[in-house]
Amino acid sequence: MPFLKKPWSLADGFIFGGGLILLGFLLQAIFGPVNWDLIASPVNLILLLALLVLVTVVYVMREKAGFFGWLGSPEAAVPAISCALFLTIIMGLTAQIPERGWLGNMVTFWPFVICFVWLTVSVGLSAFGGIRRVVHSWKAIPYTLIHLGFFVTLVCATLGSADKRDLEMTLHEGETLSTASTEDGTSYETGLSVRLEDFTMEVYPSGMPKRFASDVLVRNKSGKEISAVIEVNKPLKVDGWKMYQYGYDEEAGTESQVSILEIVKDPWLPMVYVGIFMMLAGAFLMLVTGFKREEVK
Amino acid sequence: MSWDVFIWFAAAAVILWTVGAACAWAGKRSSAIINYSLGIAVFFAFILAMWITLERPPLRTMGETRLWYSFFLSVAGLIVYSRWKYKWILSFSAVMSLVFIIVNLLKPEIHSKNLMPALQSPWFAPHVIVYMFSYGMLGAATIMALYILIFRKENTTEEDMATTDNLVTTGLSFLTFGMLFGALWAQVAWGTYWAWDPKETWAAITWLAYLLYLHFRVARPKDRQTAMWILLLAFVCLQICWWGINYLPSAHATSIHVY
Repeated sequence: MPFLKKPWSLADGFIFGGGLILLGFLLQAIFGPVNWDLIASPVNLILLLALLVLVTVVYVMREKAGFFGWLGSPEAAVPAISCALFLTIIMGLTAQIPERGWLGNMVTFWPFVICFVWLTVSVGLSAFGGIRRVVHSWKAIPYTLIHLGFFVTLVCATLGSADKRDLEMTLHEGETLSTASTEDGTSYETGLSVRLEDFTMEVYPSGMPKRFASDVLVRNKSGKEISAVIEVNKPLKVDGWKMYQYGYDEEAGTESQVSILEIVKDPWLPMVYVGIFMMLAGAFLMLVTGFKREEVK
Repeated sequence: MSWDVFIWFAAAAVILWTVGAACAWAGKRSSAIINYSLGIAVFFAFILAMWITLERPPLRTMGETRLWYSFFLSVAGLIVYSRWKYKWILSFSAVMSLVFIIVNLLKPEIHSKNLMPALQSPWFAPHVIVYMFSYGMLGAATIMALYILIFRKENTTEEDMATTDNLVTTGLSFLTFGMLFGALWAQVAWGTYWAWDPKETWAAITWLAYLLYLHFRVARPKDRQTAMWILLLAFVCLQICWWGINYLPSAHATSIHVY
């Protein structure tokens, strides 16, 4: 295909981006908004594998066709970032309320998703390039860490989102529950039995909440009992679940005898953390070594 | 210590900054640096005293974050001056700091001791201080962009560009720290590291805009004008993220970050 062979430039990139956005509109018209639930495990594992194969193939072919070489270059980064930036600005200017159609639900809007996929592929290719150069020169380390970290974070955060369980449990003092409800109200068995011993709430003289905490007794799957206090910024970890102090009966205020806990399981979180810490390390090294030592030759 | 005495500290700092800036124009480098540093020290003394009186870091209200902005902007100006010797930079960063001081004097906000539970976290201080340092650096980069676009359109030097690139790199590194510290904190507070809350969305926009600048500089190193325009656009995004969001109807509807 000749269009793949020819050398690609910045201007071609913007045309390519425009094409991707059009393609996104087409997919939106045919399939409706992106249904992220469909990629729950094992589909996301297959997608991960497919993405890695795609990035590897494009990387290996980079010298065979102009387009493939271009995808991982700064010439492609500029239009890819511009498109992602453009759609994110639209998201920032419109209230994200799903009932208001695609403008109110950008994370399921095909053009938005496709542009971020393009950005991800571009970042992945840059990371591959960085890894290759690290072998020859330590100066490529900050660049590689930032790009690889961003790639890992983007991929794992997106693919992992469908496997995340985010539940709410509303407990009265003295009550014991093992089920919690999802956002759409369906009941879900957590495998934990949680008893609210006591809910405490303190306020400032102005009436603003100062501290609220739940004294709970949790029995895990193997029957072990854990007594703990859960408060804001101090979650409790049991059997891969994390329990957060979320809310209370706001009408009763300090007299509240109801506590709302948020119970979360996010199996991809450790990988997202790996990505975040790589980016932090990379940004730190970039700060120490300075910009462009390595990139511009 | 209270906001009532702020005007005296601010006046002392501004006088020292003015003397420092004047010395810079006169070519007296060491007196410029000494006076300017003293001004920064006086200003920081007020921040420290507020910290002690409030029994928490003064980082919560808009007025409090403006304090840090004035502080870091003058720090950024001093760093640029001592490394790259631009005569005008101290005057400019002093004027910028002064603007934020005047805003604080004219529009004092409620500065209470109260800190709601979500903000009572060890992540709070690093998250905001790192962001304000970044904003200071990127503010200085914006000054460079205006200087280049207005006064150096025809004869931009490599050094001008290197200064701007260094300011952006430093600012963007800190912006990355701030954003990711925020994500790690949100994970501890709510079990969600990223929720596309309007403040987060605008933080991502700002981050992408500065990334665009750096990648454009690599892709088109000779097109300096466009690069400077990207920098100005990025700064607009930064302002929306910082305070403009409070006036965006889209954010008001859904954000937990509006304060």
